[in-house]
Amino acid sequence: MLGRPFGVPNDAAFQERVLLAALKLLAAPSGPVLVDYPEDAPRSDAAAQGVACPVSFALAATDDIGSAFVREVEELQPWHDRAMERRGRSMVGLSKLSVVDAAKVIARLLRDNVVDSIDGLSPGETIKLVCEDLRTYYYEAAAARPGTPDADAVQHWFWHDTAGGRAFLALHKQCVASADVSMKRLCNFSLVPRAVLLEMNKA
Amino acid sequence: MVRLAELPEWDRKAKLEKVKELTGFDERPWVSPPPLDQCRIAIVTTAGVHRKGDRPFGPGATDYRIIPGDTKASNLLMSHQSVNFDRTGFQEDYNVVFPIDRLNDLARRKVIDSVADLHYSFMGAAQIRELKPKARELADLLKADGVDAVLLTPI
Repeated sequence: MLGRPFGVPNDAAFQERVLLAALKLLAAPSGPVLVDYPEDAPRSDAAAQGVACPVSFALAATDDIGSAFVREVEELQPWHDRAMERRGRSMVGLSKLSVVDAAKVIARLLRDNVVDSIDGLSPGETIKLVCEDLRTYYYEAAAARPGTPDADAVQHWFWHDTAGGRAFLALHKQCVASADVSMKRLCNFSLVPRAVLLEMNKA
Repeated sequence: MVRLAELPEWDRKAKLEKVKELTGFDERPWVSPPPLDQCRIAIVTTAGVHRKGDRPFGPGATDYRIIPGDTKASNLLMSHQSVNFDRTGFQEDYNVVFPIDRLNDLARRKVIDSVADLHYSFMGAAQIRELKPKARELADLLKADGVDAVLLTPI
């Protein structure tokens, strides 16, 4: 899986074996050196069993997507709090906004097509930081439930089963149609994973 | 690291296209460092990792951020521009990307001599050749820190 060059979270022994295999290449008498690492990364129990992410929310039919997103972010807070307690940290914090305020930024953009810039950044750069924080918040919250789901399950849950995923996809459409270069760049590369877009297009 | 064969075709093609941008080794000397137990090692990652409060990486960024070796996990963030890789592993344990604890373990056991005081992070979604000036700058900084070898960690 891309994103895990040393393999498995919290598996110090596996990480060290990968690290040592790389460092031992320094002793090669000539180079460049290209060597396959023979050992597959262990899969989590959840991945082996195909466990789905257990967090789910019913969306009110009357909600507009931005309002549903903000409400969902608020309702996820207890799970994110649990994640913070377990890990002692969170990787939310790029935009310096609270997650509820970050969701409101996206809701406003979807409703009024307006972006309030952070630190003088372009609209696309501002929305990128806001979206990174929100996605991190969702993923961290999802990891807090018993029977921790694997990365694929969390990604599937976010993009298929949450108002957050729906809001990001709506935002993607809005960015495609935007005349702003920074927003176009955002939608081309930095908002929705290509695998998700391909899957959505097939469906 | 994921194997090419495990990537979707579009992703595999994109990665292989990037290989064409890499410089060759024909005129580069092969430098042998001291034995591992005498090596001081630094991490240079392209994962877009940095400390809270550092300026996030923007689109196409070619500059770097400094990560002191004693940076706490709670002070690390990631602002990589690409969304086409998993972040949940890093969120759970930064060592899957930035294996500073593993390096420190090796130094404690004297498998390596020591870990550098400073480590560095780029954001890999940039034009490879545009990274060269900052990479040269970094080489001088690493030498000044007495670093013998660098662990390059992609994402």
